[in-house]
Amino acid sequence: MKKRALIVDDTELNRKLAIAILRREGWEAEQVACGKAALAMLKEDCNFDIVLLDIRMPDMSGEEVCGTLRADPRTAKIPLIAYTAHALEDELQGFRDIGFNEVLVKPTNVEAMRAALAKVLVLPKLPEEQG
Amino acid sequence: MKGYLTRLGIRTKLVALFVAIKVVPMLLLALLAWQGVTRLGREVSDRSSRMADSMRDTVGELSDVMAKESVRALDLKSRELIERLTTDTALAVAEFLKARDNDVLLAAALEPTEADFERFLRNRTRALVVPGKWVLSGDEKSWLQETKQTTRSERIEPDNPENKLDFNYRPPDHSSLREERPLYHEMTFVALDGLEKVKVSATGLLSRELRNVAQKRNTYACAETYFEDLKRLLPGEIYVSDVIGPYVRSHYYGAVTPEAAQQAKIPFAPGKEAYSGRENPLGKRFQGIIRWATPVVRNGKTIGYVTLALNHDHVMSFTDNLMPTEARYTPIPDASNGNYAFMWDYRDRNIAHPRHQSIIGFNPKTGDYETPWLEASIYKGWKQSGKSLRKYLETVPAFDHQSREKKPSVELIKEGIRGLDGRYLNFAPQCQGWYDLTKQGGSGSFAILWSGVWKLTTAATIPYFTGKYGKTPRGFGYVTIGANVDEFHKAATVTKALLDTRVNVYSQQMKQTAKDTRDMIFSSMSKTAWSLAGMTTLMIVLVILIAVWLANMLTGRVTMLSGGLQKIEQGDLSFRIGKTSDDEMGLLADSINRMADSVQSSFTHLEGARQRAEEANRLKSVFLASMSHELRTPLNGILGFSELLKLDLQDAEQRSFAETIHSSSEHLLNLLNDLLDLAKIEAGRMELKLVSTELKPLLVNVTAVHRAHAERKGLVLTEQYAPELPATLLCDPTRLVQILNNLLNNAVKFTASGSITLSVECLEHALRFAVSDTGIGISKDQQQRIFDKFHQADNFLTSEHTGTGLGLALAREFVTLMGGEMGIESEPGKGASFFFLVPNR
Repeated sequence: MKKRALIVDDTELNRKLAIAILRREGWEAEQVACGKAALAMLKEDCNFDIVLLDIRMPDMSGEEVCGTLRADPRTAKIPLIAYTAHALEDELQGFRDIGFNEVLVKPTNVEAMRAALAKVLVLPKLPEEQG
Repeated sequence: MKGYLTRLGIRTKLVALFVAIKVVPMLLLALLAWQGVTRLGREVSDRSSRMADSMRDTVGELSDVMAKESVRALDLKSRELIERLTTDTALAVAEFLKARDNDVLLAAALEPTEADFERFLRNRTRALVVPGKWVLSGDEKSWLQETKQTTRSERIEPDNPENKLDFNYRPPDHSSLREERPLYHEMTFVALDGLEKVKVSATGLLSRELRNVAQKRNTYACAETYFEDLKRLLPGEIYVSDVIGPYVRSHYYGAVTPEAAQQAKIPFAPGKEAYSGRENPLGKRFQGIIRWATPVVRNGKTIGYVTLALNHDHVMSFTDNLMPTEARYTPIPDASNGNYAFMWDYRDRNIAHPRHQSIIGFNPKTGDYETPWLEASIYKGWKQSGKSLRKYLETVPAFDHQSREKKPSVELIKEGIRGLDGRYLNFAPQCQGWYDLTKQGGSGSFAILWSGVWKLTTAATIPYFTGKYGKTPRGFGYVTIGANVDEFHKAATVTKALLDTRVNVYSQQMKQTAKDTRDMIFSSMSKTAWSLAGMTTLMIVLVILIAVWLANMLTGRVTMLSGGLQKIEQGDLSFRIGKTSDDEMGLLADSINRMADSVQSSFTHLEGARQRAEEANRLKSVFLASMSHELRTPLNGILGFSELLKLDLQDAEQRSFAETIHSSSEHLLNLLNDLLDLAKIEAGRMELKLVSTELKPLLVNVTAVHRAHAERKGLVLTEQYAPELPATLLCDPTRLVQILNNLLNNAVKFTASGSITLSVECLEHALRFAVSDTGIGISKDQQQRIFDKFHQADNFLTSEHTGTGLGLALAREFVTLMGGEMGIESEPGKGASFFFLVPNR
């Protein structure tokens, strides 16, 4: 059974790239474009191995979404990765402090995604790709 | 000094100035005045003291001179008076003796019968002062007259006021008892054979028997030898004898009292000793006679001789009662007080003296003169000679070196023999003086120290030249008077003493006055000094107050001006200084206000410009931050998908295209990151995270990446670390890595061949990181601009080297933020060495 990931980002490009990388890594990926949609989806189906959460979104911020998820016992344990362009080190630590398991900085790449996922999940080591 | 002066405030300086100008001269003036007053006081005090001294000295000297002159004048006057008294007395004696000549001549004319002789003698009397009754005083030290004379001394005042001046009355002298006494003891008629034929005695002294006077033993005191002389007398010639009488001894020299007797170790028997006037009024008197004789001629033929034996008391009375003092006369002579008169015969033998033991007399046993009071050596010589006294004295010169130094014979004193023969009285030099004064029949005086007192002693020849007395100019002999010199000038000495007392009193008064004056001067001086000090202090206080007031006024305005300036300076540009006067201060306030106007307008202008600039800068930062964020999203897509393409494309050419897109977008990302950092730095929002960092692992990680790149270009990357390199360094490791990456990146990029060296040295307070290469080097020109933003060594587009152009600028900004500095050492073609210092805290 494939791992499932939920991508929450208001930017379609970002969502597409994340899905492309995850699928290339053998993941199943759902996507929503805002925080409320994410909360609504997770309320019905919290069967995700990971949630990739953008911070700057129009309806509610990634921090708010994280706070709401962590407050709900059903979703409190879902691994959350902050998917952000806020690249400063202290900001990164701040995300971890409010409940994110890992931070993935945009722009991202395959290696960074793999590292972030590896840190959050115990993933089987994929064979080295060519290139 | 200058620095010290500049630190003082205007007020202090002003006060100091006032003090210097006003107070110092005032103090100097006060000092001068004080010195002047002090000197004046001292001078006046000294002078008054000197004046008092000299006044006292002058008055003292004057009194001395006056006293001396007075003494001298009084002495001279007294001398004159006493000399006159002496000569008058001598003349009176001579007159008295001459009257006796007449008596004897008259007697020669009488019939030599007892009846006639009695008749002759009956009227021949003369008053003599008799001593009266004397008894020892209560203390037995002197003699007192028992029957006091009742002297009624009535004061007589002048009836006529014109006689009042110095009217000096002297009452009659009642002090002396006078009795009429016969002049002669006896009157005799002596026959030519020497037998007394007629004899009438008026007294009981001489024998009433008719005797042969040719025989010496039949005469008075067995001493008369006149009969031999009578035989040689021519009719009308007169014989006059020496003074003849038995010598009376005395064992006393001075008052005869029981005490004196005890001292002399003899029984007290005043009646057995010689009469000595007041010293011994009860003593045996010297009873002398002087015999006058002349031939009795009848019918041209001498039938005998008539003699008259004068009672010597009458001769002695001329000197016995004489006093050379104010008293003039005395009822009884007194040798003890030094003022007395006496008489000597032509051979300097004493014939009248208050002390009868002094009168030369005869020894009735031998009929010869009794031994006189000899000077000790004469007496000794006589005793040794074995000769009779008469024979011996013929060999002794008269008046032989008479001197007070010589002493009288003690042996004779013991015998009570003190008869005075001036010729042999060698311990009494005045004898020779008297001789000198009278040897030519004159008179005079001299002063001599005798018995411890100065005495004036006079001598006057008695001009009586009858008989043998006519053989020398000295006549009968001479009268001498001794007087205490002190008595003469007693008045002067009393006056002198009085003057001395007065001088002393006056000098005391002068001293007191001088002292008072001095005290007054000093008290006045001290008052002056106090008022001077008070005035000076007051003036000083006033001056200082004025100075403080002036300084306050000035500095108050200055402070107001500077306070206003300070307000303006602190930003209250709208503040304006109130104008209080139209003087220089007012002008200054105006100027400051005008300056403030201009500053305010400039400042308003500048503030606007600054705010606009800041706003522009802020907008730029916001724009950059937002731009970088906005750029990230498309870049994220480009990077991500180009990477996926690069991984997944099978066609090599297509894959290389994807790789190009990927690397270009990576470069763009770097550029974007740098821009973001720079924007943060310029916005002031860049903060370093200082943590203790392990240095070695950091350096290893950094070089590992670049060594791989370098080796791909065939370059060698070497590391040189100082052995004392610290294990950890307090720094921001992210930025340190960024700086090193930048420098190493550039070095690899710009070096075609050779080597690249990373070195770390330890300086005193810093670590010196340096990245050196063997590349193309950098010219001096380019070194100036190499750290500028957006600068590259060569044109970005044309160069084979690509870079953001922000790396070095950022690196330098980080180094500066770390508190260090960055620099470059290079020459074109010889490589370059970029270094930076990080403080080692």
